[in-house]
Amino acid sequence: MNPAYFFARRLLTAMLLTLPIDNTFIFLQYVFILMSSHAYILYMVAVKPFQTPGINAYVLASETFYSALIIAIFIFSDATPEMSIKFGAGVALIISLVMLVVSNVAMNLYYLIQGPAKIKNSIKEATLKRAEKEALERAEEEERKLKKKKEEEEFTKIPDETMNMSSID
Amino acid sequence: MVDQEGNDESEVYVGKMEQQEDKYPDFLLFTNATNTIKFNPNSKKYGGRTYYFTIVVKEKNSDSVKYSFYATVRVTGNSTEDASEAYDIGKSSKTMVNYTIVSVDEKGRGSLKFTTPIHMKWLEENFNDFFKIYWRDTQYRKTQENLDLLDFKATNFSSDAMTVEFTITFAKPYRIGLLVKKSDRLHIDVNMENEAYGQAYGLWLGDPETYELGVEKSRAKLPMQFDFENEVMKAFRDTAKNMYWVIIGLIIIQFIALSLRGVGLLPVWVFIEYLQLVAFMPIYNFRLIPYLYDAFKPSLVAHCIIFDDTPFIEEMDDYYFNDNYRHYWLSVGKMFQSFMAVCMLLSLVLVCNLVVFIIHKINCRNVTLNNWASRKMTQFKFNAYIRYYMLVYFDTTFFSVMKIMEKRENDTVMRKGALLLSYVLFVVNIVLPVFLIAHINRRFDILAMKEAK
Repeated sequence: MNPAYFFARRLLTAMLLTLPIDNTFIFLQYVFILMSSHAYILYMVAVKPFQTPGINAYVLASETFYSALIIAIFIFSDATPEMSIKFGAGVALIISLVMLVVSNVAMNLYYLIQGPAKIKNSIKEATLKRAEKEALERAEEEERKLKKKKEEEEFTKIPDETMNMSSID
Repeated sequence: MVDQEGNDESEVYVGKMEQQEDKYPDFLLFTNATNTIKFNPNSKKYGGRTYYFTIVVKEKNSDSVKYSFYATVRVTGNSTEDASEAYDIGKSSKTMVNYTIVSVDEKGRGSLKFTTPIHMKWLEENFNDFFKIYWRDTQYRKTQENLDLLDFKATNFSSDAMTVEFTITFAKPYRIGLLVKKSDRLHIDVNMENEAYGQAYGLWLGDPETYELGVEKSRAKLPMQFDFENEVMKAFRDTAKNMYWVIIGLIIIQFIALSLRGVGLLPVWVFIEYLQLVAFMPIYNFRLIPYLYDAFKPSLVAHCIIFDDTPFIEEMDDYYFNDNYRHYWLSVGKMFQSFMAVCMLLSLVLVCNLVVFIIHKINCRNVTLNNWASRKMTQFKFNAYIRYYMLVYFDTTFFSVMKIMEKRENDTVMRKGALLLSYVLFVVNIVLPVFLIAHINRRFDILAMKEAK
């Protein structure tokens, strides 16, 4: 999913970037980049596709700041003529840009302080946790299925018993 | 007459004024040999009229180096009935003169043009009294306020006697032209009474009675203003210049530090990937506040767009795909820098692969070196190439689509070659990811089984 998303997003972004200004579908540019970014945030939160929680958090932060940039840039359409709002959006843009760099610096420092041994450990821990979680989910799923099966069996038994009762009468 | 610079032979002749051809003095005689003008109004019909002509000075072998000087001659005496047939004195139908603001560009340069030649010297002397100049923003309906310019300079009163070039400066130029459907406008209105400019020494060339000003107001849309003399704009540009170095430094330091620590380069790849996405945001169809374009510019480092001028193809530095690209100062030349970087990076990866391969194959006695080479060889099969491909994927796709969409004629062999390469790259960039992802999905099961074991 992750590599497919990587290539698909860039392919479509590149194509939309070359739309002529007077094209009637120019709004697609904005809709696409906004939706693709939001979808990736949801995916990151739900799946956490990277190996360690640290790198997952870093990519999620970067995507969030990128998303904030996209939201702020909308103010620079004809949506509002108010200069004060545009200045506010400008400040938001600059803060998001700075935060993108700051989060990268923080991640690098974290990686450098952790060192290879700790990172390998955290990868192992994360893999174990994920495996445990998956096993737990599988077990729960199986339990649910069993329970459902049992319920169905009990449900199908009831008419037979009533039949027997009526025959006694 | 002699051209002191010695560029060409000079020549002088007399011509008709374009808008006043019917008022050319037939009684004018010009002698080429001596460059003398002689007037011989040998009929009463010429009396009491003003006539127009031009004296043209040009280089003999050039059509571009040519200066026209407007001239009038008034024949004294009274006009007669006889004259009205030869010459329309215009009292019944005055010559209507209009003026318009022809254009204002993004650097605040513009021009104002009259429909017929006027007395430029007088206008130059009285420009500030003759015109009232102001601008109105998009909120004018609400505020009803005429706004002052910081400065207005008439830079050239053209020799065609019709055009005035000017530059305008705003106190906050970055507030102008930010909307697509509503426009800020420059207004140039006449601020003088007809009696004042319609005198014998006034706006008109010749008889003031025969002229009338058709319009007294003119306005033009103001585009976004990129005035880098402005303090705020300058501050952002200077910061952007420094930030280029900061971002380059950050990326290089990260590569070195992460490699030395042996913790993998994932954070720096993620950073570059996001910078690549961010760098092209200003070319979406929005009008940012002009200084904000500079806030985004340092992220172009992720596309290896570093220099202001592109060597070898300097003419491409002034060619922009559309207005958004021009506002962002992202010329085709600059994008070519990125494409060259893509090619150079590929060469670098290939050379590194070759060197590691040779070290690996020579089987030298140094065990550490041998182990290192075999470790690195596994990276070249094919992690290094996949990472390279991911790094250049956005740029190569973007450039190829851009070349395919370009409206310009592909009339040279180079351009045809570039178009062909673009089609190839575009198709490869659709097919190769599908192949890669299919391969990863197939391998994923095997890797999962290995991990389980």
